[in-house]
Amino acid sequence: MGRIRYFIALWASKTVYVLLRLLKRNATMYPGYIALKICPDYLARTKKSPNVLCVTGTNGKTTTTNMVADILSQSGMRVVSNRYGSNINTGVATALTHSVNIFGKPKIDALVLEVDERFSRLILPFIKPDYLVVTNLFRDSIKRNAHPEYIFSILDTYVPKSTKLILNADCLQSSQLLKDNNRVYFGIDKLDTDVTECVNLINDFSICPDCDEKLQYNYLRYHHIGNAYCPKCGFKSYEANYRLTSIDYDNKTITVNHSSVETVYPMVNRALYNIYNELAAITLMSEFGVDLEKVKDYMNKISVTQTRYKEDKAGKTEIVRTMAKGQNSVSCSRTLDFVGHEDGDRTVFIMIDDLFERRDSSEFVGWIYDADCEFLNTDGIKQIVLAGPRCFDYKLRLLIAGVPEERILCEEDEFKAVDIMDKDIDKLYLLHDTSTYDLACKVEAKIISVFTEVYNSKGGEQ
Amino acid sequence: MKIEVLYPEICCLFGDKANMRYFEMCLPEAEFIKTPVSEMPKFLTEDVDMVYFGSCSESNQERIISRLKGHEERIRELIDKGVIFLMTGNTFEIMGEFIKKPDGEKIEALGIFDFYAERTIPKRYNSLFLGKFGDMEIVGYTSRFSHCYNIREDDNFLSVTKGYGSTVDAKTEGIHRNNLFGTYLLGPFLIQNPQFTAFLMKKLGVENPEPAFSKDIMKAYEVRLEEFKKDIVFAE
Repeated sequence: MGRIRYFIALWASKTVYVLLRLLKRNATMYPGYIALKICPDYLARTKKSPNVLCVTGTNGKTTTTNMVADILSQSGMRVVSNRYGSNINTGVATALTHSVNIFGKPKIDALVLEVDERFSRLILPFIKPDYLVVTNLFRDSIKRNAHPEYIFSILDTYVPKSTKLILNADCLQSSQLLKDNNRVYFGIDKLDTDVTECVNLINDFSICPDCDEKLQYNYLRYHHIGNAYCPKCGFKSYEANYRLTSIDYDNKTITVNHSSVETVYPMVNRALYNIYNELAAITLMSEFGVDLEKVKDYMNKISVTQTRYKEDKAGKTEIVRTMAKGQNSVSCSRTLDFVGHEDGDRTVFIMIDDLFERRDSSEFVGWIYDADCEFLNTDGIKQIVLAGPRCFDYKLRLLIAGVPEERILCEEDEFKAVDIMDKDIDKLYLLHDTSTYDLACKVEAKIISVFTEVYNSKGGEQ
Repeated sequence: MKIEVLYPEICCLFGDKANMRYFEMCLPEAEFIKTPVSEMPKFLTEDVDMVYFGSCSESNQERIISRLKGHEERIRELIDKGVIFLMTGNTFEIMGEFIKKPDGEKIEALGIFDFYAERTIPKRYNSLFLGKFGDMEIVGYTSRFSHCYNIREDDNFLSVTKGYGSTVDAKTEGIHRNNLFGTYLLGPFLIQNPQFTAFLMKKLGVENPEPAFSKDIMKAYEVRLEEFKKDIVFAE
């Protein structure tokens, strides 16, 4: 009976997919939803491809998953990934539908899945990945993810014992997961920019888990990312098997040492959090058995997806549109750190309200007090435009961060904000949330149009 | 004026840390002491005017209880003396009789109040909040894995206009005795409620209290209050 139900679910899922595509819908979730409705154990029943590789963690899942899927595709493997779709159980079920033929037989070589860390309990025990990358564990949405300890307990309970883990040695939270599982660690050696005392507002791993003593850091990068030890009981960070030993920003390369062999890779993106994502992907590919020389070539053809980061030009102004995930204080802080430490005179345009919340409710903005808005308190940032209904909350946050009031422009309407903002600036960073992506693209188009017009009206020079 | 911020390295979830950071801006003359979890609270041996606890994880709640066990009498004495205690998020649960886990296990708490808390993990409860403390309209947000039961009528803190109280259906929220204020509301509670901030400043002896950035804090408060009074979704 279960087998019949499974095939009905599979065929229904495939049919729904075709119909939705005919209607020009993206069909990344609903086919899986239908499959799970008909056959609740659809994930367990679907025959898996020979290789199942998963990526989870708080930040960097999508970028890492995309890199892995791209590399494997370039190597000639037939790959199915949920890269354009949902990372919860319904999205994974949709990917599984694509991975088998109508007889339920796998038709691909590798399944590469991004898995939401909170939903992992509904996914990982059933698809039993061969490899699982955990990029890191940080605070995320308070509503969904509560706090890092809660997410840690989910992963620690539900990741299968047979899964080989690819863990971040520099993340004191996630590196402690499932100590009985087979594992390798990746990490970045001490950098010139590292410190030994946390400069971020949030460090969720500041005391020793064994004796409560304050941890000391050999080096600290951001939040709890670094290399720590307990001066009292001997607890310490794990050593990385894949060590990034140098970053060359001029030549855009990174050097990775594994088993005393150093390999130089192209740097896909210069933001440190994306360098971590690239290192995670390289580690997984190496463990999976892809020739590292070939990985180098494949990396040359990879870029971070444009929904996350895009550069453009309007007149004399460079426009950078980048994601600063709302409700996720650490991810947002990474972007604020990046923008705050860039060179030159610049404007930062912030539109990170949660669009879904603002439709019929009101967003909880407590998370902005965990985000390092202090990075924006720098002379190079000439104007900060706060756009959207929560702009008054953001203004207060920036005042508490010490940003002079005269640098802040507060406007509830995002498009009106473009009209009234300063336009004589070398660089503009447009920060948006996942939910404001479409809106941000429209605002970006208006910025480009208005800035170009102003530039041209002045004869191409300002 | 001495204000002790207890265990800031673990009582700091959900933006709660901002409360004391902001309060420091309101009270530039006050001394703020931040006591880490590896040290005994200063209030056990010194006079302080106010003690603050922010939100923490469930395991850290248990860690705090183990730290404060044996000092219940001193805490009672301070409450009776009128020392201000402000507890945001789930930390006030440590003041009750016990915390019941989903598997039925009971964690003995400090027993200073009669109520008990019951955890609901993995079910999380999220809600906006609109209520009153005296004439003050209080706004906020709760997100939690637990509820509190059996709070004595004269120990209630806020009356509920909209949103979750101490339980989903309760018409009151949090605990209040003398100058102890415990609320499930979390995040920048003092920043979002300037009137209550001024009220605390007055309790601490400030004659004409004016919270920092008063113009902007009132604007944000008024916008939120107006929004919360509309017909919007408060809880999922």
